[in-house]
Amino acid sequence: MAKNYTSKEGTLLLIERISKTFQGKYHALKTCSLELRSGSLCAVVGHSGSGKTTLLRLIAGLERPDEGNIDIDGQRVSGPKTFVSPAQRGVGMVFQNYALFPHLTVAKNIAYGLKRPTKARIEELLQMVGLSGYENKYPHELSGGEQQRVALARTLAPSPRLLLLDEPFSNLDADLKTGIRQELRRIIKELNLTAIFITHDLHDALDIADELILLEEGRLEVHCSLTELSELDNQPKLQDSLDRLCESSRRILEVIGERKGTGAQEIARKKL
Amino acid sequence: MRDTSAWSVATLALVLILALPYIAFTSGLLAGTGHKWSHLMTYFLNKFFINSVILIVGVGFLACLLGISAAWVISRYELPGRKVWAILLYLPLAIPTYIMAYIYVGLVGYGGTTTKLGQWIGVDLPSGNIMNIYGLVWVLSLSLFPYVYAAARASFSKRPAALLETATLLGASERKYFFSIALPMAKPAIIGGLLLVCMEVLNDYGAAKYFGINTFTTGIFRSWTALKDLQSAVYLAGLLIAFAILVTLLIRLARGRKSYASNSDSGGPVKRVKLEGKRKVLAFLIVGFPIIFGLILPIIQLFMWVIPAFDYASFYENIWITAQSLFVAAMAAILTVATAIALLFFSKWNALSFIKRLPSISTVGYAIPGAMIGIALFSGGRYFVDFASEQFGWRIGYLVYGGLPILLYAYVFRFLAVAYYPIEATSLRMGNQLAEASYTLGGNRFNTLRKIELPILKPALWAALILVFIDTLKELPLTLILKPYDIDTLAMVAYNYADEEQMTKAALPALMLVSVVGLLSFLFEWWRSYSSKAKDG
Amino acid sequence: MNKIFLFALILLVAACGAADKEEVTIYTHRHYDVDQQIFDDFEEETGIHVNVVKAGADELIERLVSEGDQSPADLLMTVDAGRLVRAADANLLQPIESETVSSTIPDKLRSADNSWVGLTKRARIIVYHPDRVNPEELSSYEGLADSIWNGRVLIRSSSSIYNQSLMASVIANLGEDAARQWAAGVVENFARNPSGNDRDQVKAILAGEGDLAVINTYYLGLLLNSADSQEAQAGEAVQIFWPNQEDRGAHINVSGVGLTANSPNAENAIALIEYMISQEVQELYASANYEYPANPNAEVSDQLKSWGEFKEDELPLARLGELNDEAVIIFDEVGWP
Repeated sequence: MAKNYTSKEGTLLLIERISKTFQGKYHALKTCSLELRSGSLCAVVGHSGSGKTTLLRLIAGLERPDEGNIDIDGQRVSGPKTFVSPAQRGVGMVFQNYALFPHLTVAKNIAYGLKRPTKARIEELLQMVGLSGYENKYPHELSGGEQQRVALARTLAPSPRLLLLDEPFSNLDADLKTGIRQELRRIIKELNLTAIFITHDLHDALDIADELILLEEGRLEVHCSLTELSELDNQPKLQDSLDRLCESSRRILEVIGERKGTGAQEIARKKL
Repeated sequence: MRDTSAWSVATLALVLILALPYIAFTSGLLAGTGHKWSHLMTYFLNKFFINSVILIVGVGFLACLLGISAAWVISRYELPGRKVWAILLYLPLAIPTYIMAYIYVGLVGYGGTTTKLGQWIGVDLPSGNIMNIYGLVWVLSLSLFPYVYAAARASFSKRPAALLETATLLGASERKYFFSIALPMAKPAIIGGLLLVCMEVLNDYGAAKYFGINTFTTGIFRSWTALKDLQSAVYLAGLLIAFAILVTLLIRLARGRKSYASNSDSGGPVKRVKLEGKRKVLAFLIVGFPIIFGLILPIIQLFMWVIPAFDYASFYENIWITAQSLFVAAMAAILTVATAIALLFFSKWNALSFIKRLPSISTVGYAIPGAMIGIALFSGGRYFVDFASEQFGWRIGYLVYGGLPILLYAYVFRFLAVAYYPIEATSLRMGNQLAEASYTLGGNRFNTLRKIELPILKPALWAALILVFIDTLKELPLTLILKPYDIDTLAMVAYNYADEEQMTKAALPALMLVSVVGLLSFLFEWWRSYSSKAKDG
Repeated sequence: MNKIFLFALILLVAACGAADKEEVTIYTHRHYDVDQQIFDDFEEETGIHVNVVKAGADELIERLVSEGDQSPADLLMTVDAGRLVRAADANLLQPIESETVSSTIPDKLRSADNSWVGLTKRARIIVYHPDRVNPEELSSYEGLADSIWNGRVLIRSSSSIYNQSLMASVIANLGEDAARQWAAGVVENFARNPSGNDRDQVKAILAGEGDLAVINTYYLGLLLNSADSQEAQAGEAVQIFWPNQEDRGAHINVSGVGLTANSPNAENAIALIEYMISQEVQELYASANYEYPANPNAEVSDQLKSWGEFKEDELPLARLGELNDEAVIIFDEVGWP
């Protein structure tokens, strides 16, 4: 990425040149930098193995980067000399398979992260995700969509500054998905949260995200806003970087084309 | 499916075959108490009961404490030599409880190894009499805690990382994660291990007798041998079985409706944490304590007995006995696991819910004192033998008395629980989807079993094989009663010498028993890590 | 895999049934190396192979009952007379038709109908710590109930057949009531709750838990000759006292052998019994295992000689078996664990 990032007012997440290798050889992330503004909903797209999950895990503090810094809300949480434990970062994460505690009821799952769990707060959270009356059910009694909403409520319970979602839509039926996507956006916006979600489906990203990140083989190739994408004709620089390589970026162009009707498809075709 | 009734019949038939000894017990219970019953009631029954309860509670608690804490450290933290400790923690299981009892008297009793060590380093080390019920709790716990350890470790190490990470992100401390997530989720497994411990405690005869503690089982023997009232003995055994069935059902009930199968299997297993400083020392203490007191000190004691009395003739003889033990144990293990698989899948393939519950009844044999199984088999076998000779003029006595088939049948009857529970647990986790997927792809039951289910169950099958193998190697009273005269086992030879107060001679076969089991455990663990690496790569 | 396994099983079964040579099968409660040596010698001399099944006598008797007329057993060998009486009572034994046996072994050491015969004798004796016990105060088993021994007497639990036999002999000599009073007195004098085996009682004397113990001569011999130096020291530290020398004599029991009712090789079995009571073999028992020979012509070993001559109770041993039930009941009544 050519953009030069400096911390600005309103920046919630600032990542500077982080790298991560596993077992000393496999490069999961290579010197990635990223700035995310407060209140933004950001989608991360890329092939499997492109480093999406690793990026989220580094932000959450579940892994330590080999080099580079991560700041959240102006606070250094990860750097050469600092490492703030995941619990202290104010970051919430919803795992791909939701990771609900199978032996606890819905209410107890949600209460898990609360210092002083009250009935009112749990009820409030359940209401927000539309699951009032589910308190005493066990995870295995819920559908996939319901499980996800419990996981979301549980993550939101301690009021995180930053919400991370790993493939939140991958386990859902197509019917459910549209509704849930919009609901997720509504909740995030209602709470004025900053959120990053991973998806392999561009439609998810284009439907609800404010910004889009494209990862390719551990490199952060594209970071742009949806507005920029929709005005692609006026964005030669973005066109260039999308054009430069790879299947994923072509796919972005294709999808944008499809969605915009013939005009945009032409753009896409032109770029191919 | 259309062949459901056939599988119901097959399950029922298998359960009935395995229930044969119960016929003897049931007829014993129906026949009522014997002529010395009122004597037993007056002088013993409350003692049997109180002591058995103290032992079960005490050993259960101590075994859980030792087993769970060690399993937690091994599966959660990265310690130098972790893999070796992990295996050593299984090995106290190789020391039969009665041998452990003799060992501890030899260790801390007067003039024992502790005293000698004290003299050698010039300090007056304490020695004392541990032949009381607390000593018995200690001895039994040390030789039985690996059942809990094995169960807890399996459960802890297969917890998906996402659960721990979620808990961490939600601000849970290590302690909170352990008590609110890891431990409750491991509960069914731990209870399974605890059940085995309880059954072993109920079944122990040698150690309790040596320590002079009256338990249900020594009571059965007293009624039978000293009071010559076999009927009351069988009646007592019947009560014990009823008690064991009750415990089994209660535990089934406690497992309840909650499904612990977690769909969060992404992210692989939990990464182990490196420890530093005080916490590292503490971790070593937790792992080291049971290894030192359950394995190292006992082995030292065995050597203290073996070395002064060592001669090559008895060494070679013991090698030959080892070979025979391995042969018998291998046959028993294979047969038991095969029976467990048949029972599990036959009942799974049928549709009647009451049939599905039957297999767990068949596993109660674990609680019945081996000697009583032996007697039940003899008295039950007698009908067959008489029938065959009266109706057909066949003399099949050699099949029933002191033949290998009946000994193997007895092992299956006795150890089915050991094989059944780990296989069942894995099968429950596996669920039905894979099999159903295979059926929809045109697979029939047997090739689905062979190609899909058994390969997935392989680790559990190996674990079951090894456990039954070890248990058979250690088994005593059944072997004593039923064994063919041309077969000796290490456990038997060790017991015979110990019973005759010749520990110097009992120690060599006991040591060989520990070595064989140790070697097996190492091979098994090596195979497991090897095969899991092969899968990853 | 299962087919192969089944095949192996069938082969084994066949192998178990097919043996057809000169043999004798013995069910024994004796687990001594010297026994195996004697059986081997016997086979070398006669060509008769000895099959041995080692287990507890009670299990073996139950096995004989179940096997009935299809039992492969020819002989039942126990470490006490009581179990032989029990086997005889259950009609599991038949008379041993042998002039040699009747003429060699004294009457009191075998059953009236010769269905079983004693091979070796063990005496139940008192051992004491010479610093803490004045031997002049020792007299008899009955004396152990005296209050001067309060908190000083070590003895194992009543589940031991040796204690049951001792009690039976007390009942036979003094009657049931006196025996009960005696047992209650001994229980009062226990140094500790009965636990452990005979060797443990001797060690407990040295540990200072008690001052005297009731044990078998045979175990004292094992203790004195133990490969464990500490055990040998424990054996040497105590003195031996022969009880009841002024009256009926010390209690003895036998390790003996009975001929099974359905013995398939009765002739071979009798040959083995005759071999086992021969002077030479009897001396081997005495020297290797510290047991007193049942054959009066056999010499006792040096170890046994060192304990001196003693007067034995002349009670016919069959009485021990007959009174065993009452003995156990008295133990329970007085709370002797």
